[in-house]
Amino acid sequence: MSTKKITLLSSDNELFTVDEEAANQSLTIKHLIEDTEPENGVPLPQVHSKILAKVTEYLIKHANEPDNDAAAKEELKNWDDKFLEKVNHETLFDLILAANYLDIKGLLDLTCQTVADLMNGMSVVEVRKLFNIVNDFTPEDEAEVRKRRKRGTKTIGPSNDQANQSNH
Amino acid sequence: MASDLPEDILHLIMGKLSSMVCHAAFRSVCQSWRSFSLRYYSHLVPPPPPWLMFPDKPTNPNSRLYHLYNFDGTKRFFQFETPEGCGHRSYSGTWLVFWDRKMRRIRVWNPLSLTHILLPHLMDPSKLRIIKVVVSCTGPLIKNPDDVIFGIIYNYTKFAFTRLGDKGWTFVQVTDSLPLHQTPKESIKMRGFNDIIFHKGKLYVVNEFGMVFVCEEGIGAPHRYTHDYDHLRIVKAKMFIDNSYKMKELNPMARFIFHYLGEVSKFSIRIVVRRMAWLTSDEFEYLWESVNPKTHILPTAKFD
Repeated sequence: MSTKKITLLSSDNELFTVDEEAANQSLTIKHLIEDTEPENGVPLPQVHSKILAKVTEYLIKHANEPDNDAAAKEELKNWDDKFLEKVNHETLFDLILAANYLDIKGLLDLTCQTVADLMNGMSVVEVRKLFNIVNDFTPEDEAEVRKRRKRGTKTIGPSNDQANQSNH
Repeated sequence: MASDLPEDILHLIMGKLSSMVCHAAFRSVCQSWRSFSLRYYSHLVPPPPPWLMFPDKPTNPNSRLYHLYNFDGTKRFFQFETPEGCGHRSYSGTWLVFWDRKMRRIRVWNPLSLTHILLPHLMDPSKLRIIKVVVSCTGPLIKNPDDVIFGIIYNYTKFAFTRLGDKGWTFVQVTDSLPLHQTPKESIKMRGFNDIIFHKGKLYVVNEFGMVFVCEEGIGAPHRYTHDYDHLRIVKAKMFIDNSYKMKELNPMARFIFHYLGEVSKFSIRIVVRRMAWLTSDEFEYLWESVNPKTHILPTAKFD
């Protein structure tokens, strides 16, 4: 059985060749092939070769997903776990963006799950560091939250009673 | 890089966070994440696992809360200052239910959003015996006050609910609460309701015979009870499933029977039966049953 080969072209002009079946997991690539029938490879100007190498690795492994074979499914799951094990945070976020752009549901789920797992047990400061986000709450914002927390009051209830008197 | 993540990816990540602690951290990262979290929290986040509550000392108003299934494995304790003068504690979702000694009313409190709700007067507090109170919204935020319902079973055989903002309670009358095959003499043993639960916008109660009743009337459609005479409002609950004959068949010696209702998924609830036979009081037998309009599975399992 011969399968058609698809060539993918990264942003830094590196070529990657995969089976059509593997490539079709990316809906973006699938539509690009259908619509434009590119001759010199599918251009993916938003994806760097470093990331595209990882993406094609995933696509090739997931090309023939087992349907009813529990052992094969287990094996694939273990492979998924290992796949992102040694990836640094920056690459992980680039992979998320690539999976989103290329529309590969499995990879997007896997990478987002990895990020969510990373966040488990992290403090706010650590999460900010992970996502490279600057704290933009003003001291007044924080003071307001803390003040409310200290008072611990925000009463909703029947209006005609002494509900508000109990926690002034 | 990461701060440029599009909203749909934030959506995906937030939907995969497993514990309340993660969500709290997520929300505190920056302004845009905070507003994002506040906007979508209730759509994305499944009902959180229950809390376990440890009072330090009877005199100490501070209670420690313990997140029962803290998926991050840290098994952290959280210390909260509970409302003053509150006794009798239980929980429903992330809501804690107290008996407010000072106000002599039921107070529902959320330690995450710090929302206090004082429920309307139900009856003479000295005669009130609360079995259980449930809150329809499990998450800490209240989006639409009309959607928030409090269900209660009390004094063993009484069942009522109130909507947030109502001045009184709506009482639920359970018809045919005595199984047909039970003689009036046997009914003396009946101690009434064991458990109450919210499931898909309806209130379910189970009595000691294992009969489950469902109350939908007046729960779906918001109706403001603004006058005191609405206090006398009564709606009816329908029989949903009758397990009483099964109980009789399974163990004629069973003396103490407790039924618990639990939400298994969005589509089914489960009755857990705990029985203690008179002669072998240390023996517990559990019967699990999925109560689902479509499927009835009845596997039995013995537990240690």
